Amino acid sequence: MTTDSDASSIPHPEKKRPKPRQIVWMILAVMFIISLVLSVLSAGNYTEIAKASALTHVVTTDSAVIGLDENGNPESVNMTIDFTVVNPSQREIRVWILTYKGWVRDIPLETGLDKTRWRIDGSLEVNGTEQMYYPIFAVSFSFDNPKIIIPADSNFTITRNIVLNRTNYPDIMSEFEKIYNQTADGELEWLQYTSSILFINDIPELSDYYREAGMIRRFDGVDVTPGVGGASP
Amino acid sequence: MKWRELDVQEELRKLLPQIAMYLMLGIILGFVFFYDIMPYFCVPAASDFPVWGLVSLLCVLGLVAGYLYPDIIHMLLNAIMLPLLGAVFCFLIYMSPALSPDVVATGIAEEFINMALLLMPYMVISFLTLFTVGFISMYLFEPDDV
Repeated sequence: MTTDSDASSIPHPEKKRPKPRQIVWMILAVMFIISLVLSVLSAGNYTEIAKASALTHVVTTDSAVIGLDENGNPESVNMTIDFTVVNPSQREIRVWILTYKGWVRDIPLETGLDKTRWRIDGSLEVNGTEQMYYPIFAVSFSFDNPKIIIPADSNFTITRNIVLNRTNYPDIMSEFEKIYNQTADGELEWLQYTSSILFINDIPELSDYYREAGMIRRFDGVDVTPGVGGASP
Repeated sequence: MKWRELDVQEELRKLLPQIAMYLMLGIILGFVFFYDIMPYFCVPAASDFPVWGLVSLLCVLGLVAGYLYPDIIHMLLNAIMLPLLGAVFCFLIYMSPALSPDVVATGIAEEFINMALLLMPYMVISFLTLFTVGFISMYLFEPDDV
């Protein structure tokens, strides 16, 4: 005579237990599927980061408004700069540093009309002729707090103003006045250069070989050397 | 001719589990290599991947391969083939952005050399670990009747 508890302890003849070999195959298959899924996701993630690194760029446009005094001499220069960050990737981009440099073409120096300059002009060779540019603006904007984050697949414009006048930078303003007055009709030719440092958001702190993988450096415009220095806010 | 075709089919059928095992282990190993080289690009992302983690995983994979085929030929094949397959798969993940039409792939040969240099120590570590674990597992899992 058997009780219920005895009957439950007797192994069922039809019940098959998986062999250890089958269990190992199953473990291998599970590890393989997990790895394959993570590989596909990682490849996609890596592609998006590469796209963000390759395609994100900054377009800079600037416009100068020259204020004149009662004698028609320039007394201030109000430069408005629009930095447009174009992010065509599916990752968020964080703007960290935007550096702007602005020069004005120094025709009086080029023609030998006026060779006295407080700062050294930058030179640029265009079609075999040397053009001279006087540095007017040099400014760096950092965006640590508050952070500026550009959402995926979008553009964002950051506008900044720099004012140059006789009070804040008298030396630069006096040189600018000379160039303005000695240039025909005061038709000034401006040149700008922007250097930007951006970061791809949400990448863990990097190390070793790919330390700068999340960092994007972009340059827009023409850098004139030496021609350094200039007014900042 | 008929018997020969059947013979080849039979041989292939016998080899199929081994090929499947090599492919699965190679893909696992390739992902592990990529994760160790560039953890911040992976899902889930990490800032670092410890060396003991890599060696432990290699030991587990070596034990699995050694348990399924515990003989000297497979032990040697595992130690040589798996690091190579892993390196190939790792390189495929690494080059995946080049498949995107938006990203212009430049300097593939240069990237290949860079990646090969990065993968070299991983292949050496894998070979040594898989060889050692394979050797141990030959004794651990050898059939009783042998």
